[in-house]
Amino acid sequence: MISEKIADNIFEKVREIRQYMILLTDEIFYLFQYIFNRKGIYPGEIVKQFFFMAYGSFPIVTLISFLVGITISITTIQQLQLFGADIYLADIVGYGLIRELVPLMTGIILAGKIGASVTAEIASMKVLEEVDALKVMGVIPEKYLMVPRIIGIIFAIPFLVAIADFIGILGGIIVGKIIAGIPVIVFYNEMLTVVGIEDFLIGMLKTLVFGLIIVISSGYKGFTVSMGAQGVGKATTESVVLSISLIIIIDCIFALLLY
Amino acid sequence: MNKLLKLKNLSVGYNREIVLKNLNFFIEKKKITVILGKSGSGKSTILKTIIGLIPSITGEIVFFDKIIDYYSEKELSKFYNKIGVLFQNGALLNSMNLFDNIALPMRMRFEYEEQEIKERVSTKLDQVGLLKFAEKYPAELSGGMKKRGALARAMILEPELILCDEPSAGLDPVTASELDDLMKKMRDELGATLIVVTHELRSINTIADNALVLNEGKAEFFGKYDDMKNSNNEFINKFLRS
Repeated sequence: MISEKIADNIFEKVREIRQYMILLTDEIFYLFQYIFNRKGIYPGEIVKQFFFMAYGSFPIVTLISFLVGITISITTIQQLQLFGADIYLADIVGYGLIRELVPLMTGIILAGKIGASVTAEIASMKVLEEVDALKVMGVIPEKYLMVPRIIGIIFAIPFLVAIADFIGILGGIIVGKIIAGIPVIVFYNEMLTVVGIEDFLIGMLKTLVFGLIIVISSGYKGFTVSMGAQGVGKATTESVVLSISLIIIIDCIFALLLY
Repeated sequence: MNKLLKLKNLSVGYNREIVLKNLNFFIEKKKITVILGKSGSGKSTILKTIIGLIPSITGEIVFFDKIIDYYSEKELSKFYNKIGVLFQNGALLNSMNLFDNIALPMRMRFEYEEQEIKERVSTKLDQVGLLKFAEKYPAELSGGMKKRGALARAMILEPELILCDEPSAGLDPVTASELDDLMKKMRDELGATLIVVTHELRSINTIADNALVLNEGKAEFFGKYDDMKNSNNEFINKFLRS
């Protein structure tokens, strides 16, 4: 009896992974299909999604990056001062934020903000038969609902990452200036000795991958919702947990591959 | 007799349970066929199977003398061009206003000019008495308005067949009666063929030409509604008296 339950659970998990991979490959196909034939998406939807994701997430991403920049600087500077190595704050803040913390924090914030919203919207549409209505109107829901969000996040992320990098480093500069008296130009020049454009691009690439994972995971949880309104809440929570878990796993893989 | 749709030996099941058992019936052109039965008897499942949302275990569905291949995207797309569906709660998209909801199939499926879309959507909204609510969002409409709006959307591509899932569910008697009149108008003036799933006797008495009575997934009766009323079948009599 117990072994049957374990087997059932394993088969269920395998089925879920299979469904997720099918959705992922379908979305890649629909994305390229749309790029070439420009059909299957409601006019104006991509711009709407871009503004929701970029403009809507801008305040929280900015605030968190600034606070993370300040926090990491304060904790680091105290240790560096013990060795008279205050100036290396610029290296740690610049490298740490651009390559690691900004992509990770942005991914986690977007999982909570955009991921939850995408799942709740799609799951509600599924429960209210709107997804079925789209199918019967000859519209592919997985394309109609997901491709604008995928394109939206692809365009929103460079904007968000650039702003978050700048604001996070600004937090470091402020702490460096106030606590250690490091001049802004000295901080900036020191940072450029270890941080290059490739670090910025790696951070951007990582965040783009996290963004895609968030949209796909949210869509997957939205399309597979069951049990009515109660299911919508459950799917939304599961979507955020799934997105954050996958972000951290993929971040770890990036670290293994790139460092 | 002009048969638009035929269901042959149809069995449907999910969650390891057979819901519809070996059903055989047809839908006559330009008539309203009512599917009735108790809750859980499989009425909505028939509609969902016809429109391809639930796969059948056995049997086939024939539309215009051609078996529908639900696994062929091309065939299914052609089939969807010829049908319209009114879902139980309307299923209007909450993210767009009524006008855009009704224009959606025209914008997404075909390359109509905006002027033609505007004219056709306005005509349909006028037919269902919602022209002055075109800019309203579904959340701003009453239950009856949502249903009428959804009916306008189902009619926008002038389909051969319209499937309605419990159209009067949750509506007050006056609004429900207006919706019945609208369906009769579509049959009489536009020559539409309708399949209506309902268990509301008042509505059935008003609109039904033909009837399929379901009892635990089996067809208890199929034929003219007038014949059904005169039937000696105990289940049907019990249903009609309730």
